[in-house]
Amino acid sequence: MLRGNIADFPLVGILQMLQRDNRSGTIRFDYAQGATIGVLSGRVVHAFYAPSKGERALSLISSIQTSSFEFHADHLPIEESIDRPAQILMMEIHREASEWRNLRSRLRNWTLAPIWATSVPSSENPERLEVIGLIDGQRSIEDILHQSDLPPRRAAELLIEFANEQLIHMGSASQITQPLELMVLPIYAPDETTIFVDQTLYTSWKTIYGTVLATLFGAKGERQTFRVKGRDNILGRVQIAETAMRKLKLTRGVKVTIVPSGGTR
Amino acid sequence: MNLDLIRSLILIVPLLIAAILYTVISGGIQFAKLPLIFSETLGAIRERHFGSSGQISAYQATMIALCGTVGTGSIVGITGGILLGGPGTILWLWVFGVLAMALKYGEVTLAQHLRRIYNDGSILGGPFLYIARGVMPNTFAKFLGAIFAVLSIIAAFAIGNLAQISGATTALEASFDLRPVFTSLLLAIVVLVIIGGGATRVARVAQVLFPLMLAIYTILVLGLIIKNIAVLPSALSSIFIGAFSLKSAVAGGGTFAIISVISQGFARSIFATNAGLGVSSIAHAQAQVDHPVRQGFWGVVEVFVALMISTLTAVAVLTVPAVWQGMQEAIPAETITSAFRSLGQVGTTFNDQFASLGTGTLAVVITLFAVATTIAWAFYAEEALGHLFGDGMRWTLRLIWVGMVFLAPFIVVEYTSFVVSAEFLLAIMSIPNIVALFILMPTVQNLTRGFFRGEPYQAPDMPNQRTTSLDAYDSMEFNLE
Repeated sequence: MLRGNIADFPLVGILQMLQRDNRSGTIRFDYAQGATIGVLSGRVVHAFYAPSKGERALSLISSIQTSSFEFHADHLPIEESIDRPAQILMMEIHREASEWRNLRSRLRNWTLAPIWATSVPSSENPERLEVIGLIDGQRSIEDILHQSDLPPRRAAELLIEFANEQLIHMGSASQITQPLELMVLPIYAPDETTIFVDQTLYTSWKTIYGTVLATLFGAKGERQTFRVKGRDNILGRVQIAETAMRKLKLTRGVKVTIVPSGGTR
Repeated sequence: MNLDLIRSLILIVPLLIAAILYTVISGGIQFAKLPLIFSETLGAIRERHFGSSGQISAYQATMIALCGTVGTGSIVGITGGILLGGPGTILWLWVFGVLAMALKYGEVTLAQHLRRIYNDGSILGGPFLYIARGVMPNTFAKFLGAIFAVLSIIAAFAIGNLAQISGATTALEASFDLRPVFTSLLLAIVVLVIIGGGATRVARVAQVLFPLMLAIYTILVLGLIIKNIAVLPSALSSIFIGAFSLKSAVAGGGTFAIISVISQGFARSIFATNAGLGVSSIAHAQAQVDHPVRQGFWGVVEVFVALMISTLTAVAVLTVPAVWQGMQEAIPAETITSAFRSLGQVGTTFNDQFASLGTGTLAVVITLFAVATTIAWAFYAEEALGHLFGDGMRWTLRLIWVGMVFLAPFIVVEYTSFVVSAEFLLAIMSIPNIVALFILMPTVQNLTRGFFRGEPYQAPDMPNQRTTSLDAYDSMEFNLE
């Protein structure tokens, strides 16, 4: 019996272990509509990530950040959809997993449907054209990654590119960019021009705006625009330099309205 | 060599040096940043939610720590200090207490910085971890951390359980004629219900229980002080005169007398604030904060509150000179009870109703303090056990703990020898903590500097946050047979 969580143990490690011991069977991931990897005598011969299979599915499986998995030695692969030398495949999976880690932090929710912020752009780049053709406000990110002729990782990179260029909103982008209320937490930094929000929020803003600015409204109508950066462990808070707080007549613990925007500063 | 001298050599002197050094490296944080510390802590009590790693709020963590720190020792212990060292003890208690604020700040900051966060969001932290992980990542440091954990479990049973419950049942029997078998059974059930809910339930109880008992006790003490308001000026002056008097309350005279008073004051301060002993940082490590220094501020407040309660007790006792003067051989618990019985005395007559109101309320307060202390120390013991053996033993410890609560009144302990032994145990326990505090001083200095420069906090690499190392095998069920 081999089971655990992909968050604790990298996919490459699991596959290397099976390869070393010459094992046959199927790894099942408890993820979305099901994902499996088939191994025959230690060699990866099949991957399925509904509805894709083969190397496309293997790439999508290597994007999974957390999921429990279980290796079933009694379930032999039902088909062979991958035929690449084991060592090359291992290196490829390692590279994919590493690249996906960064992409997933910027493209978290794959159920969202990208929509055009303006009119549909034109492009001479065939890769961009391929993805542009799939963005219709109906297809989710996951659908696009499955349906594109490009490798899923490349399609994901292009979606992020479009978001950074503010060509698309990521589905609920309108919610992300709406003003929100955060609780003030003072920091004692000399830089009065930068505020800090939770890293996750910052990442979603950055995906949309690139460089993130935010206008902060004080309790009595004072307003100031700051450069925004992300920090860990401050969910629901905004860290503001104490000196800037005084100028805006803010005190610790009060809620302030923040409106994110893009631009340079 | 007597235990008192050993205590002074291994506990007071190193802790005094550490407290001075921490005051220096933190830039005199308890003086220079006092308004900021209060606005960051007591000024922010209403901010309950803090979406960050940690199980409980910074305020709740501090209330658990205060429950453990401010036990019957802050009432009976301080009275004992006055009986042994005279009123001058209190001045030295303040002196060390003020310095100890920086020490506690350092302990709490380290416990937060070097805590361990598990995948399910639970947290383990405290001296055993900052010793094991921070001193040096080697076997000796792990051994020292384990020693601290073992000693804190023993101390928890002795100081946080046996002494507290025994004192409470005695007080309840004396005031309300309640049989200890019933009161200890009731207390055992209450304690089981609270500690059975883990850190979050202990925190929820502590955040209500501590302010409640603090309010009741303050009203009671202020009542006694106001009743004896005419004596207050002389009581206060006796603190300052006694601190430097060559004719001190203790045996002997001259320089030796002053040194004894200082030693007594410092010792009382250590046990009233737990500064340097490390245990209360186990609670602080659980708090949700964005930066360890922010919880360190609560450490300063913890010492401040403990000093306030000790001072109130001391002033109340000193306003009844007839009770404490010439009673060096008296038992502190009886002395403080007599002081509160005097609430019923008006002129030369005695009103039993007021007297019993005073002692009855004191008994209730002592019981509340005892329950608060025992749940906090049960939590400390659990965490220490968790460090040694993992989570599997928690319920075993809880059941043994509750069994001891029930049996506490029937275990006969001679008060003076118990206090000496308990303090000796705490002194031994503090050794690994003091070693770590000296070695980790630069870490606290860097964290403090980073916080006041507004730099982002970088948690050290956590062995539990597994990514690619072979440690990940720990979390897998692996059997390829």
